[in-house]
Amino acid sequence: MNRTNLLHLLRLLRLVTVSLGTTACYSGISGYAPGFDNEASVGDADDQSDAQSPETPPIELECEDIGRQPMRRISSVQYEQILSDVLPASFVAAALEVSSFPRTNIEDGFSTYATANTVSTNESYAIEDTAQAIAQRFYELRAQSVPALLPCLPKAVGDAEIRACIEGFVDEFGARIFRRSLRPAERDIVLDLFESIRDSDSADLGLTAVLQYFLQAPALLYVTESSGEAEQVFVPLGADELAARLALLFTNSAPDAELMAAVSEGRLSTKEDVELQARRLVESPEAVRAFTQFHHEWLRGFALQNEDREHVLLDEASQAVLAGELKDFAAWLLTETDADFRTLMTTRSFSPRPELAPLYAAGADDAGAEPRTGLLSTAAAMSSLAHPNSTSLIERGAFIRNHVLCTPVPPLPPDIDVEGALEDYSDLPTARQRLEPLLSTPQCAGCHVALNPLGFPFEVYDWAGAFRATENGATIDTSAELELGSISGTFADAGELLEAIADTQQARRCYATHWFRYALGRPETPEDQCTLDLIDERFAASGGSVKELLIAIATSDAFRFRRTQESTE
Amino acid sequence: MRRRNFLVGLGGITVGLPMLRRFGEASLAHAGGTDHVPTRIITVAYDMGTHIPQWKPSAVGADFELGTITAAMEPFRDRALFVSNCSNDVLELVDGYPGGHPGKKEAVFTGTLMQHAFTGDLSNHIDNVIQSSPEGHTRTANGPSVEHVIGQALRRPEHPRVSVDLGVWGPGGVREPQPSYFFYESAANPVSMPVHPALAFASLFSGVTPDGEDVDEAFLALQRRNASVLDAVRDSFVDLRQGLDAEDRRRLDEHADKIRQIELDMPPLASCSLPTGIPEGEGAYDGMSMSEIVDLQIRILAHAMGCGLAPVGRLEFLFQHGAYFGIPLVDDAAQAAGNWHHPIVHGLDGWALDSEVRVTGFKFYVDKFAELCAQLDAIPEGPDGRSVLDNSLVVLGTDLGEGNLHRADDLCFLVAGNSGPGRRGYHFDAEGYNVNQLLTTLVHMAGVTNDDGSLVQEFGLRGFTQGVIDPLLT
Repeated sequence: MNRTNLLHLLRLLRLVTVSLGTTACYSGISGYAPGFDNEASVGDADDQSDAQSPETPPIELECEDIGRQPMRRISSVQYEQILSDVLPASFVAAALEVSSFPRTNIEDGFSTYATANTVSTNESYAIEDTAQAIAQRFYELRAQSVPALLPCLPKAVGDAEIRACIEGFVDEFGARIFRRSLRPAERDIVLDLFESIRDSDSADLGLTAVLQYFLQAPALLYVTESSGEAEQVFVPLGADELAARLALLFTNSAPDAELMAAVSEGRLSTKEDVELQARRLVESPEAVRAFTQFHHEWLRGFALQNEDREHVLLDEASQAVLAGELKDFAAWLLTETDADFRTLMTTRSFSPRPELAPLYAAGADDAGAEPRTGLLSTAAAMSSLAHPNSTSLIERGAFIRNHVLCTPVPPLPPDIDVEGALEDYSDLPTARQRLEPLLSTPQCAGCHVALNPLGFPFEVYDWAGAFRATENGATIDTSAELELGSISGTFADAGELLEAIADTQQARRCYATHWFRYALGRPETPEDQCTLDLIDERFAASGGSVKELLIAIATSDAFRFRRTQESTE
Repeated sequence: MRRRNFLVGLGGITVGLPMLRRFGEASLAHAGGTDHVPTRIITVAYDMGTHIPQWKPSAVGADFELGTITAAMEPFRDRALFVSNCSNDVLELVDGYPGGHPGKKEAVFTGTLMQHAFTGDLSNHIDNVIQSSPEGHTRTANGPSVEHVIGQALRRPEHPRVSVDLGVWGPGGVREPQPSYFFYESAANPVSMPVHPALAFASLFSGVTPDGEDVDEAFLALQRRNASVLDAVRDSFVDLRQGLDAEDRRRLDEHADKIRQIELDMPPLASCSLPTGIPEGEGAYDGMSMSEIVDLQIRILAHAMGCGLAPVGRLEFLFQHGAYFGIPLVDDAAQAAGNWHHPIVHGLDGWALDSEVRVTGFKFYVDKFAELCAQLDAIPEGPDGRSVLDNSLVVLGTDLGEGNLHRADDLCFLVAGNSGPGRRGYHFDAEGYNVNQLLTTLVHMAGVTNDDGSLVQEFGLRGFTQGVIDPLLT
C-alpha cells in the first residue's frame, strides 16, 4: 500500500462504525450509540451520518459502569521512548542528549497518572526548550539528519516537489507521533509553518521548524480521547485511540507499524481485534519496556535514583546497577519464565548482576544457592523500602499492606506520642525490640499487630539490601506471627511469608489492581469495581499469568470505552 | 548587558537557551497566562493628592468623559482603569493619624503602617499594631510595596536588575540617590531612587548595546522562527479542544496559556535603544525644573523597560517644595507665596479648591504619567505587534485624596497598559473598598499567585482585610 492509500484509509477509518460485533459476556448496559471519537472534525457529512445511523447496533459493555478517564499527558519516559522510535536511529542519541524534558514526578501511583504529568510554568519552558534544542541539533547535523528523516527533501527540485515531500512527511511522521492521522486543521498549521519559514529562510529550516513543532505539539504530549456526544454516557474508543492506549501500555511508545496498519485497515475495533493486538504486543520485545517500568515504579525503584546512598558494599557502579535491578528482575521474569504472579513473588532463580554480588553473597547458603525470594526481597526492593541509612520495618510492612495486599494502613492518629512510647526502648539492639511497645500499647496495637510482623522477616536485609544476620550484635529474629485476612499463622522468614502472600487472592487482586492503575493512568473508582472483578477473574483463571492479566486489562470495558460524564453517585 | 548576550551561539546560528524563567526565590509565583497578563509592573507616585472633582471621570462605568486633570489619558482610555474614592483604611488603626504626609505615603503601595505602630517582633500583623502616632518615623513601612512583590515573581534570569528606579527631586542638581517614601523592598527598607538623570543613565545602560546596525540577524531570525513555531503550537491547542470534556479542555487551556506566556516572555525584537538627549557635565541640571527632569527620567525609564533591564520600574516625585514645576502659572504663584509651591498645589489657605493654579499643578502629574504611557507605547515588544505598554501594568498613585484636606479615605488611582484580568476603559467608584484590597487586586492583575497556585487573598498588613475589589476584574 502506498502512502496516499494508507492516509486515505486512515481518514476513512475514522468514519467507519466501531465494534459492531462486540462480544458481551455480561448482559450489561446497552442502547448507547457508538458516538465515534474525533469524527466531528474529520471527513464529510455523509460519512458521518452513516457512522451514526440509527441502524447501528447498540454498544454493550460487560459491566454496568466504568470510571471516568482523565486526559493524560505522556510521561517523560514515554516522551523519550517515542522520540527514540520515531526519529532516525542515527539522530536519536544526539537528540536525547540535549533533551531537558521535565521528569515525571511520581507522588502517588505511577508515572502514567494524569496527576503526575501536570504542566507548571517552568515545565512548559522545559518542554519548549527541549523541542527547540533538539530541532537546533537537527539543524546543526542537517547534512546527515535531513536525509535520514526525510530522504526526498534533498532530492526535491522545485516548489512542487518540495511541497509534496513535506506533505508526505507531515502526514506520516505526524500520524506516528500524534498516534493518529492529523486533522485537516493540524495539517494546515504545520504546512503553513513550513511554507512561512521556507519562504523567509530555507527548506531545511522549514523542516527544522516543523520538527520543533511536532516535538511540543499538544497532540504528542496529551492522550486525548473524544467524549463524543454529550448525551452519551459511554463511548467506545476509536481505532486510533485504542492503538494509542495499547502502544503506551505495552511499549511506552507510539503505535508500531502493525498497529498503524490495523487502524488503517479497520482491524482494530472489536474486542477480538484488541485482544489480537494485545497478544502480539505482549510477546513483542518492546513489551519489556512497560513490564520493567511498572515493576520499577510499583516498588518505588525511582527512590534509588534520587538519593546518594553510601554503603560499604556499594560503589558508584554497583549503586547504578542497584537502581536498575527491579527492571532487571522484571525483564528476566518476562523473558525467561512464564511470567506468572507466583514466580514473581517466590522465585529463587533470579540471578543478580555481578556488581551486586557483595550484597547477596552474605546470605548465600552453603551450596551457593540464591536465598532471596521473589521481587520483594531483591536488594533493590529492600533498599527502596528503607531509609537512606537505616531500615524501616514499619515502612516495609506498610508497603506490603498498601501495595501488595491492598489493605491500607490507617494514618497515624494525631494525638499519638510515638517517640514517648518508644523512648525507653531506644537502646535495644534490634528494630524489632525497639518497636515492641507498638504491639503492646493498646492505642498502637490495633494497627501494628498486622503491620510490624510484615516487616520483621525483612530485617535481615539492611537499608542497602545487603543481607545481615545480626543488628548491633544481636541476632535478628525473622519470624512473624500474623492474622491478616487469609494470611494467618507463624512464618519463619521472608521466604515463608512471601510464599503465603503469593497464594492469596488478596495479593493477586492487588497486583492486578496496580496494573490497572498503571494502564489507565488513574486510580480505580467505585465504577470500576465490575471491571476489576472481571480482570481478576481472568487473571486467576490463567493461573496468574501476568501476560494474560495485561490482555484482560486491554480488553476490559475501562480500556476500550470512555465514560463521558461524571458519575452522579 | 545586552539581553541576547545571555544566549549561547552554536554552529553558526544563535541558539536561544533557555528562554526566560521565573526566579525561584520569589515568594509568589507568576501564574503565567493569557494575552492579558503583564510581564512587568511600573509604578509612579507623588505626594500631593489631587482635586477630586476634576480628576474623576464624568461617570462611573465605561461611558464617561475625562476630567480636566486626567484629560491627557484620553489616548489611553481604552487601556486605562480609573479608580476613585478608595480608602486607605489601614491608617485608621492608629489613633489620630496626623494630618501630614508621614505614614500615608508609606502605606499607599505597602498596605501597612510604619514600624513605630507595631510592637513586639514587628511582625506585620494586625495583632501587633499599637495605637501610636507615627509622626517623625517616616520611611519605616513595615513591609514591601506591591510592585516589589509582583516583580519578584515576574523576574527572569535575563533581567540584569531587580528594578529600574528613578526619582525626581526638585530643584535639579542633586546627585545622590534618595530613599523612597512610597516603595519598599522589605520592612523599613525603602528603595533608593536615583534622581540625577545622567548618573542614572550611566548606571542603567552601562554595557547595554542597543539594537541597530549590529543587530544579530541570525538571532532575530531564530526568534522569529521560534515565535512562528509557538504560534502553531498554540493554534493546535485550540484545535485539539474539540470533542473533549470540560475538565480536559481546562487542562489544555492551562497549558496553552503557559505557551502564550513563553511567547510574551521572548526577548523583544530590536526594541532596545538608548535614550538620547540626556545632558551630561557639571551643573547641567542645576536649576532644572521638575518638568524637565521628569521628562528625562521618563525617557530613561521607558528605554530601560524596552531593553528588558528589569521587571519593575518606579518613578517617584520626591521633593516638591519649590517653584520648580516648569509651568509658569504654577511657578509664578509659588514664587509669590514665598517659593513654596507645595501648599499652593494642595493646601494653602485662601486658594479656591478648583483654582486654575491648583488644578494645573495636579494635572502636571497625570500629564507626565500619560507621557510615560506614550513612550512605553512607542516601543515595540514581542513578535506580535505589541508595545512595551501592552505588556506592562502601569500604576499611578498618590497618598492623599482631596489634597487640600490631607485625607486618605478618598484616594484616586490610575491603572494603565496591561492590567491582566482588570477592566479597561472603565471608571470605578471604590467607595466601601480599601487600598489593601486594591493592592491585592493589582497582584491578581499581574497574574501572580501563591506558590501553590492559589490566589493571593490579602496584601500588606496581615489579618487586616481579605479579598480583591471584584468590580475591577472582568
